[in-house]
Amino acid sequence: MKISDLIRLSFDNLKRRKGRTFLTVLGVIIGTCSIIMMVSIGVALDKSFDDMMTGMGDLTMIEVYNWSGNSEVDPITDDVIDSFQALDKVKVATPLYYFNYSSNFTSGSNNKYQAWGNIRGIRREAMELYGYELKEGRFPSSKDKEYTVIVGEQFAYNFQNTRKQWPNNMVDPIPDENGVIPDPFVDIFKDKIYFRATTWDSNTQEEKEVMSEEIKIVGVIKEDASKGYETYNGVIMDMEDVIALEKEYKKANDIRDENKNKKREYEQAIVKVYDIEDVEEVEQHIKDLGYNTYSMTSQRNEMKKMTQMIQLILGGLGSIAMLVSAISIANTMTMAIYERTKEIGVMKVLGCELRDIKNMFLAEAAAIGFLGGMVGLVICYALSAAANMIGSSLMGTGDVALSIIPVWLAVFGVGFSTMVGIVSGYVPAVRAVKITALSAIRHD
Amino acid sequence: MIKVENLRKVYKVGGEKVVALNNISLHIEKGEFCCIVGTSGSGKSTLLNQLAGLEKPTKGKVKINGQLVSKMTEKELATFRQNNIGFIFQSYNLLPTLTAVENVAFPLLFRGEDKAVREKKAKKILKDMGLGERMNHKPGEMSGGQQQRVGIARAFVGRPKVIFADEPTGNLDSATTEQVMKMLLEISQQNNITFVMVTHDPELAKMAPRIITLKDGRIVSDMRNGVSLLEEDMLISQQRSQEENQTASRPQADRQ
Repeated sequence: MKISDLIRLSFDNLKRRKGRTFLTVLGVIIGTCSIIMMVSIGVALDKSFDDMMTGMGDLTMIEVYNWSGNSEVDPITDDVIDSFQALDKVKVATPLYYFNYSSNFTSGSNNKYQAWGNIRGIRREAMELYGYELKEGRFPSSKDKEYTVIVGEQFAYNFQNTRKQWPNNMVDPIPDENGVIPDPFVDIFKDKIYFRATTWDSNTQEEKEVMSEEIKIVGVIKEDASKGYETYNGVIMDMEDVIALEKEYKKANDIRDENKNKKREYEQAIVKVYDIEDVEEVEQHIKDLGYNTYSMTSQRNEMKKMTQMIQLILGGLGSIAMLVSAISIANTMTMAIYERTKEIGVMKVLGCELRDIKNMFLAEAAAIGFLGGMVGLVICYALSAAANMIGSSLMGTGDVALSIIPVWLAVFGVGFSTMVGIVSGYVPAVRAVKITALSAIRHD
Repeated sequence: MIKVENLRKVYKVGGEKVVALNNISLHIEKGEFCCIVGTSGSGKSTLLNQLAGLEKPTKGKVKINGQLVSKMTEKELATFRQNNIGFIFQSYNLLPTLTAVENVAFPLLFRGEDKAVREKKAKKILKDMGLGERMNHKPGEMSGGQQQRVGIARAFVGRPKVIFADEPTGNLDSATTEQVMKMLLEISQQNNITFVMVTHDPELAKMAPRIITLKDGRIVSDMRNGVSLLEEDMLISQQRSQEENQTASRPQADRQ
């Protein structure tokens, strides 16, 4: 039998029993709707998590620590970081280092203006790749002399006028009544700025300057919470410069350097990969070496697992209605076969092959499933749109969707309901095959 | 064309054995029109069912066109029927949702023929049978005689080798019965189709050239054009003709 004939016959037969077909299809519609709607809520949940995570940090970044205390795991040294850098999918690897002592910056005559700010050490060549974005100026280059730095977006406003009383000693980057943002005390590109250290001289009862190094600011970067607070008001310096500065600071303050002869060890390194998809692989590689890692992506994956779980549960709840509709399809088909026993017998006598009889009933059941699925899908789109409209008007935010029906869900929904039709039509169809040709002769 | 050997069919009814057919052997030639007659309970319908492969015999063989129908699986039977057999029912058994044309074309659908091709064939045969006006009517809109003519058209449309008919005129009035019977004789002879029908009406059976009479599961008479084909009758007639020959030759001998 031709497929076109098969489909035509099964639809003809469904049309014969409009009322019953309608009720059965209605069941499938409800089943499909409940599954699609439940899953669409899960999808929306998943998406809102995703959006949230993307806002929270750089998804291609892996933070590396060594918390193991295990002597078999190498401390994070420059060699280790270089080995990370050598990996295929790694864009850049760098230690992240915080200057260990208080950092005081001064400017103006007699150090009139003073500022505090954390110094972050990072490899010079990694600054741009790491994702710092310039707002003004340029990145330091290898040709620069020592202590050439970039600073956070609002670093200039750290400077306070030590000669004035509060609140006049500070300038904040807040617009005044005319909407004009006031200038900071110091022009960080033109004025000379020093890193200064003092100690308390008990003899003279005065502060004594023990160190003063000129700092050259060449760039200001945009604030980026995912990169750290230093992008707001800190100082970012080449790794080697930070170490040199620290050495000098220790010498000036008579601090003994215990690690003088050892290789430098870092508490934290950053590895940035080219693509989000690579994070897992690279992170696993680093983990296998014994290091502790943290990445937004692995966090996201955890979260994904959770939302998938929620989706599964929601889908499971939706399936209950589908199960009920499957039973009603099976019932409808069984009834149809009882009613059409004689007709099936006649078909057999006329030479209809067993396969075709089976397919005919399967096609009918599939048609019920498919019709229900299609109508259900249309209803779901309407419901979903309505839910999102009501939801966004209730919550006042325009972007949050309560229900999202992606293409895969639409295809899955209709495919699944058709499958349910076929599966629940299977047993009745096999029964139809077993009806003997003789029943055509019997007179009822 | 159809060969039956030692056919036996036993039904079990409530623990008791009922012998419906007992040691039946017969041979129907190609293109022969054959009526199986008998009262109800004689086993005539059971015999037809065995011949058409609708039921399996308890013992014995049924061969159609050299193929052993009595041993075929359901699947093989379906294909065999599709290609070799037509069937006419007493209660017509037309599909109520289909028009006359669609009903007639129905067996061709199982063969996978194109809709256009099979409907063309169906229309032609319906026209030949004088149902040109009724082609797009559904069974419910036709008289019994018309419906049975559609049923007959359906049996003939695939040009089968054999057509079985189970009381084809059982639901028709006597005038229509004769009409339909003449039609059956005519078409099957025109197309050289072997035709086997069951009826309880001996008068109707007389229209057929071959009449097999059943009683209590046995063949009690088998006549072709008035000549008995039963073995014992054949023996008797042989003897008789021998005797006649002898009596005819005796006077000669006497004369000698």
